[in-house]
Amino acid sequence: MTRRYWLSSLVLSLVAGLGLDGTAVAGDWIHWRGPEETGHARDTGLPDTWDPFQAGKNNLIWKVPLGYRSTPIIMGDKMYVTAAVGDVPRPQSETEKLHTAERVVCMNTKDGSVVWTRQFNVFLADIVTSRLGWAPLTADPETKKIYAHTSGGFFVCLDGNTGKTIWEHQLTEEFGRVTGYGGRVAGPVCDSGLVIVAIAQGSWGSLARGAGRLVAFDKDTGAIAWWGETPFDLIGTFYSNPVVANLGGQRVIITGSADGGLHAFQVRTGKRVWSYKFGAGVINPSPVVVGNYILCSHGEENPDGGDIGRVICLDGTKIKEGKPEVVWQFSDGTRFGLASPATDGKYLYVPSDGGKLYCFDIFKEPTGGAKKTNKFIWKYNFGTTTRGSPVVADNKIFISEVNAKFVIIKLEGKKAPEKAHVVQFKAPPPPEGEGQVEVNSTPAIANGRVYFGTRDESFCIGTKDGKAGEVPASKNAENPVAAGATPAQIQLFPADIAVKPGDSVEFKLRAYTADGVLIPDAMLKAEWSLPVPVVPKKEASGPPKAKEGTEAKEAPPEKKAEPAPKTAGGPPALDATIDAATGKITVNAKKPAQNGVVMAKVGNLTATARVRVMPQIPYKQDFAMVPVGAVPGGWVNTQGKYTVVEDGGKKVLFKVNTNPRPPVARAYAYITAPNSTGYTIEADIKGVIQKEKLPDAGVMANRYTMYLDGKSDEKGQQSVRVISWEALPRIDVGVPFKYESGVWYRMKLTVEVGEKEAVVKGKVWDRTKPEPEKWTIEYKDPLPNREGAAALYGYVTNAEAGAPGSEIFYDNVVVTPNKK
Amino acid sequence: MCFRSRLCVVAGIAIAATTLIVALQPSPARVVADEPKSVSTAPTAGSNGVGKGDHYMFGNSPERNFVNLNPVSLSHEFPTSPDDEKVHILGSRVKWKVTLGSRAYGGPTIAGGKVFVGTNNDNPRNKRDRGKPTDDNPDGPPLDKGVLMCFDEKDGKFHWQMIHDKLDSGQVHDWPHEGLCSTPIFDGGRIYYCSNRCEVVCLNANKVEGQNDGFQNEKYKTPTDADVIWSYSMMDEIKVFPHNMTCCSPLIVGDLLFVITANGVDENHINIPAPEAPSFICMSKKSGKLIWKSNLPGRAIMHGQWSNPCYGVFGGKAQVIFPGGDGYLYGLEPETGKMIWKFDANPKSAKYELGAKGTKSDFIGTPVIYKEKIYIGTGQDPEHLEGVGHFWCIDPAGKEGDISSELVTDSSKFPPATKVNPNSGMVWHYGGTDTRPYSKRDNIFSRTMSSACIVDDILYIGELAGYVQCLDAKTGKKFWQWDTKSNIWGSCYYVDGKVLLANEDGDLFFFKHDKNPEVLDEIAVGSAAAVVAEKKAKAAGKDESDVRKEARDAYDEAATGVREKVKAKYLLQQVEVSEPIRSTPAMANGVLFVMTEKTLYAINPK
Repeated sequence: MTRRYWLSSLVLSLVAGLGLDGTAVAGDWIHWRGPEETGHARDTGLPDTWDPFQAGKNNLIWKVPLGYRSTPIIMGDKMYVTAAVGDVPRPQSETEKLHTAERVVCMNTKDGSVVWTRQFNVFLADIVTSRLGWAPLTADPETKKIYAHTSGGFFVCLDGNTGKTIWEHQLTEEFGRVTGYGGRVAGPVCDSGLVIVAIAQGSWGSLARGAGRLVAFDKDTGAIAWWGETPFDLIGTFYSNPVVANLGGQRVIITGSADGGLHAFQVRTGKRVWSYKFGAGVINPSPVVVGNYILCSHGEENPDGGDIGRVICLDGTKIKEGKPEVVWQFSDGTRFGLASPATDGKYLYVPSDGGKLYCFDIFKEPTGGAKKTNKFIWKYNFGTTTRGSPVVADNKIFISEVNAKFVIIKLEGKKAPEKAHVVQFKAPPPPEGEGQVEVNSTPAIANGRVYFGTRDESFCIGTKDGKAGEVPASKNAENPVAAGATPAQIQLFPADIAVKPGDSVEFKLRAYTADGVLIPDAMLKAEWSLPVPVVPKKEASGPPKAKEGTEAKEAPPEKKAEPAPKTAGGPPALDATIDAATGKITVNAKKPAQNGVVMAKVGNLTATARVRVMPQIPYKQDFAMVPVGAVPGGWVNTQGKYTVVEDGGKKVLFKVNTNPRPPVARAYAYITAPNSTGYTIEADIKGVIQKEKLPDAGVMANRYTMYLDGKSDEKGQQSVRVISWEALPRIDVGVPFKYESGVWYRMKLTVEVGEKEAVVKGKVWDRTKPEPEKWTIEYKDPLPNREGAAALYGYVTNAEAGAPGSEIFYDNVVVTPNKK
Repeated sequence: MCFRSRLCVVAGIAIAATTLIVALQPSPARVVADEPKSVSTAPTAGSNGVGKGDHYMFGNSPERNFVNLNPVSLSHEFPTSPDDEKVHILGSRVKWKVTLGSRAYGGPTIAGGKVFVGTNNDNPRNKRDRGKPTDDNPDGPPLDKGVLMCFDEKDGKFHWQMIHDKLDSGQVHDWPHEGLCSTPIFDGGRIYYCSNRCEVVCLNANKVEGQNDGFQNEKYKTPTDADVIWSYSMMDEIKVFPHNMTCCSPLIVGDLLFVITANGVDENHINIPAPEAPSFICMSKKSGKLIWKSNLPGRAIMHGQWSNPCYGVFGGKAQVIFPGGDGYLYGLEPETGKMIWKFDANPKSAKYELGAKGTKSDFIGTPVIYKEKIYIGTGQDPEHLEGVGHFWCIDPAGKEGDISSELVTDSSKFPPATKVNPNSGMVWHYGGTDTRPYSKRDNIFSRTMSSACIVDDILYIGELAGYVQCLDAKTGKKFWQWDTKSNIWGSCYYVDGKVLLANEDGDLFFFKHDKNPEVLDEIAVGSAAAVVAEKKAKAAGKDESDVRKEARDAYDEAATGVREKVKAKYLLQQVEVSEPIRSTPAMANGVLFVMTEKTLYAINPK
């Protein structure tokens, strides 16, 4: 059953298994772009002007001192928003920095009073305070569940009434999710019983290659229904939030991605329907759908060169060779890359990154022959910087301007606007406030009220005449399942699961039409097998390339031969028993960890599910049983970034040192489950100087990393450090330690989690010597990371294809439970 | 100063609620080669093959002041658009134009009859620099490269280009499609610049087909490829870890060439992977050999280093001025790299934090020397937005050591206790937070990417936020401001009694230069009017919300009046070029050159 547009007093009767587009009053704002997912609200009586000074006067309904940069969602009488903890209205003190986190807040729409707050620690992310709370939330109005994708990599399902966790995933530690420094994290959408989110990640086996992917979770249990992969090379992190629409009889989820493409996947199966690569950089804006048209923009170079940036209109029903037809496009060197467009169904409003609003007539005949140019009708200058997206409503545009402004632009159809109401925010006077009040929020509009936030405050504005409008039904429907339809595709559910040694899993085999609609009661007889997992198309670490560029005048110094192959092999077939009739598997209880796949074959159709058997504590790994070129079973984010090699006649793990891309150059090899706690990790680690540099190398427990720092301080002193969320940095403490090239050290790290704090204790010593009694480093964290995967850490800052960087070797990894 | 929470724990448990302010320990400059040490004379117009009317480097002199005092004329009259008679366009004033890549940030440098620009390869001029043909693009998509293009000054004819491959590491070192951002310097038939690959490069400026002087093993050798004399990889040779882009526009003084290396943080923006790598270097312009190196900002670098050095003589002492990634300006001995003085361009209470609220900045603009004083404003990567900025006038003559305006006396708390520095080199300071009642802006002066343009003791400076400010160069007193309403990356440029400035929205402004400008400060006037209105409304017993509204309205009315006056008196023209402009216009040999992100325009003087 699908209810994307919740009607509080009206129960929709839905065609079984089919999703319908919205059909009635939109009293809620569940998707970040509203009921039509287009940045359009049909509410009327919205304010032309307002004054932030006093609630109850001049159209200000309420304000509370809780700032945010995202978009609130409105469900019934509650507003939900994700925000930073510690983003004070001035630069942070060290204490504030130490307590910085992220939160999901539930507020009363009547007065902004807080109903509940859930706080999430941040770690393993390159995001900093002012960019926390980036990804908008979504909800399932049927069950009042809230879904959040946090900067720290949690994907959580919360009870909308209480804030209690119903289920959660740790996307970083389970699936090798990466964040960029920019904060770019995409928000989820909820549709067809699934909640779907897009991330840049690389984990293991067929998903080891770093790529932009969508992952769909069962909205009630969090079990994975499918992974959808974008086909082109990963360029960077991105934050296009998907939309869902019926196009050409199929229900599809459409998103811009990390590969410069716009992609459509069937919502229920994750089958990619089409892709259109239109950017040489990542696509951050979210598309909007008008009838059969998909409209989107970007602010990067174009794949064919020429001007920077583009606005496109594609026909989602005219697909040729996997690509939709271009209806029109616009490109004049303006960047449209950081906010998303809005449309009222006739005009498209696209903000440039530089604070100008461009208006296009969607249905105007394009000119310019094959170029299909649609010239903009008008451009309105409302500022210098745009990050938040516009909402069009009541013949007005509501939009944030980053430099402390909220702007209401009065629309005059085809004529360029002449009037705008601008509120300029100022920081409270020092010492309470300092610096410019950033305004990044995209407004939400519900029941005749406009909700948005600034760095410092939440606002609700409206007039006494404000009211919700009617959302018309979409004309597009899905093709229904014909009676006696034969399956065109099959899937295993869950499609990806993490289990313990000895566990059994029963997969559900589901059949779908070619359009991706579930065929209920399909009688499927499958042949089940445990094949060797497919090796990814391209390894995260590519083959060695000749060094490019101008050659040095003098011959470069002779480079040392590489000690290891650059590609790491995928896992072997799953070691498990399988029931030929039901497909129920039981993984070998004696094998401490592994990963593999299960396959079901029905006629010519096949479906596979991924199974990770997670290393359990206690756990030992000396790499003796791992083939050279492979990685240990059950580890995540390791394949392609680490590889087993022979060193001194023994097999050890080696950090790939020929790929300078940040997610490979600096990588964690996650070993145990994300909810591991109360353990100690030990490992032998050896760093070797290359090109005058020692690598950073260490171990992680509970999201605290202890590492040997390859650099020295201003006095030439080296150190061993404990860090957590180093991009802030929330924690970065060090003690002097002499770290020599070529020496095997033993590192030991343990975390004791107490009620209010965590005590992190680490030791490091020359492994040929006895273990010292005293801890080398101890640290007490008042904002404890209560759990987290045990992991190895390696960072080669001077990695280079053809000129390998510093070397890191790991051996004798042991994870043991702490003594009670 | 470093406010990062890097606590050194000796033993036992440390609670990280305190800040250890690590004292900056500059490592002395190291002279590494016995190369020419004479500063002799800097090349100036008329020497070293530089024509009198040329624009041969960033700022057109080692003082970097964007002022053209040649007796040339440039009209600000431009034709109107056929679509809208209120809009002025380049139109018939265009002498010639050439298409560049999709971004052009380097140059233009106009010297020796040629024009040199740094751009990207998004409009490839060589088939080789395209990928495999695709269904959509039978020619093959452009490959991402850094490109230095050479055109003929007369007619824009394309002569040759230097192609630099991108670094494999991607945006952390070499931002995609950013092209080549360094403005080349022309000197004796050579041009010198920094490539996107963190190399210092010397090319044969007068290359003719088939010529290959100096270095012989160029990677690309078709007839339109450049002739490399020497190149020096700062990553390979001195282990620099550039952040995002290497873009220094080198400085040449005599035989010495000075460069800021771009050393900075890595992807997580805190860690400096190569703290020992130098930030400032001096090379022999002839051989490309390193003469000295200095890692002065070292671990105190906040982000990256993208400014340019300048050169001047102060109290008889020749100095090279390096803006550091720690927000300090350094005066160094040109021959040895030895530090003479340093000046903190941030208040001691400032903090570096990402975004608009951070109060501590580094430099994007270049220091400018005028009448033996140094002028510079603070700024940041534009992605960090438009926060507070500071503009300084510094007189370093006869001074040594720390010549900052204030000194920290107690760093155990934050903000630290300070005292006035008796050894201060500050002449005046302009900027900081604007606390005047009802002032619409947070700041008196906000972050800048621009360099000052100073003529007749009048200073013009742009802000990233789109404002141009006109100040008294002697005192820092404000005369007037104008809001161009789009981000400004380039600098003001003086020629023929006019000040030119372009912005990101593609508007080219002409302001009238006045030796005795009128004080037309819209904020001061607006604020004063607001205070009067506030008093009046209060006296009338209105509630606070209405009082504020009336005060704001009074501000708007008064400020608008002042703006109209500035417009009437100083704004001569606004030309809609309609292509983003992130460079500084330059006039050479009677022709105005305007480089947009994608086109180089040569514009007739009238």
